[in-house]
Amino acid sequence: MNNRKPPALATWMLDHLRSRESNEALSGDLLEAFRTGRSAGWYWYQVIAAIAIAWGRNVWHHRVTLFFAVVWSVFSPAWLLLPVRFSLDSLVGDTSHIPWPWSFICAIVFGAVIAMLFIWLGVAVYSTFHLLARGNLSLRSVRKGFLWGLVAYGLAQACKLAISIHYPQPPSHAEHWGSLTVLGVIENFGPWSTLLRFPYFIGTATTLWFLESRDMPEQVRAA
Amino acid sequence: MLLLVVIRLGEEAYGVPVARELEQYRGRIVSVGSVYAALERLEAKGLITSSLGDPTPERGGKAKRYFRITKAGLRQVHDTRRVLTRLWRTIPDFKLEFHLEER
Repeated sequence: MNNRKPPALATWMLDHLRSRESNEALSGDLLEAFRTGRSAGWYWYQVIAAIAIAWGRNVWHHRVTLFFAVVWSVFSPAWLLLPVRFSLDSLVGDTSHIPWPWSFICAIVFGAVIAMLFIWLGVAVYSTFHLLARGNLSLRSVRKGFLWGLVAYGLAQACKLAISIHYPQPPSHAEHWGSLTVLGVIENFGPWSTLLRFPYFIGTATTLWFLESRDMPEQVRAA
Repeated sequence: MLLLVVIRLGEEAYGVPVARELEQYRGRIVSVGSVYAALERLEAKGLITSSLGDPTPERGGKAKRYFRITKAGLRQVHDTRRVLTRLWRTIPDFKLEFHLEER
């Protein structure tokens, strides 16, 4: 056995992209095998396979959550239409009279509050049928779910914004969307409506993922 | 197959030797991560148990995770062997030769 070092990036990925519990034995095994003559290519293959397997198991464990998040995000365009229908956006969301940068901050906060209300309404629906029934909600997991859900929603919204800047929405589409009924926007599965749903799906899925991680069986969490 | 490897390795059944044995018998690279995933599934079913050894400097201070077969695991291996043997006996020799020739 020699003392050569495995690729640092691969080791970092193994340590950070999998949960820590069962990582110790696996990373020790990979290091031992590498030092007995395995190549750097073999090490990379093992790390990527281990991460993919762990994430695959995690996704499978949260399949109900992810399915619910997909279904719930389908309704998000209708939720966005509600402030327009009830003229709430002109009362609270109109920031044209506020000087920069407060107008920008107000617009972001207004958008985030609307999004969080939608996401947590989804959490309430899901919890009623799933989490509460199994007695798995704790204040800590709720706090963690709220924070990570907000961060994930913000990142997804930034991605959506970047895509919208690169591929601007045709003006006719925006006018068409504004004239649709609540049922009309729910039934609309065009590329722009799908993009609109994306941050809501990410936010809902992340929030529920963190709420649920408390009740994961040890074997799955260890993966 | 994994249960047989764990039995064969006895006291030395941890990730590296288990993966090495599987590679030897299957003739292709085995992912250590998938070996752990399969072992954890077997552990959840109560067919094997695991325990952590002492951390060693050769492994960067990381402990080995040793796997042992349980009574239920041994029973499962015997049952599988019995079923497979019975099934093999029901297949006539000429059918096996025919499939080998086809290859």
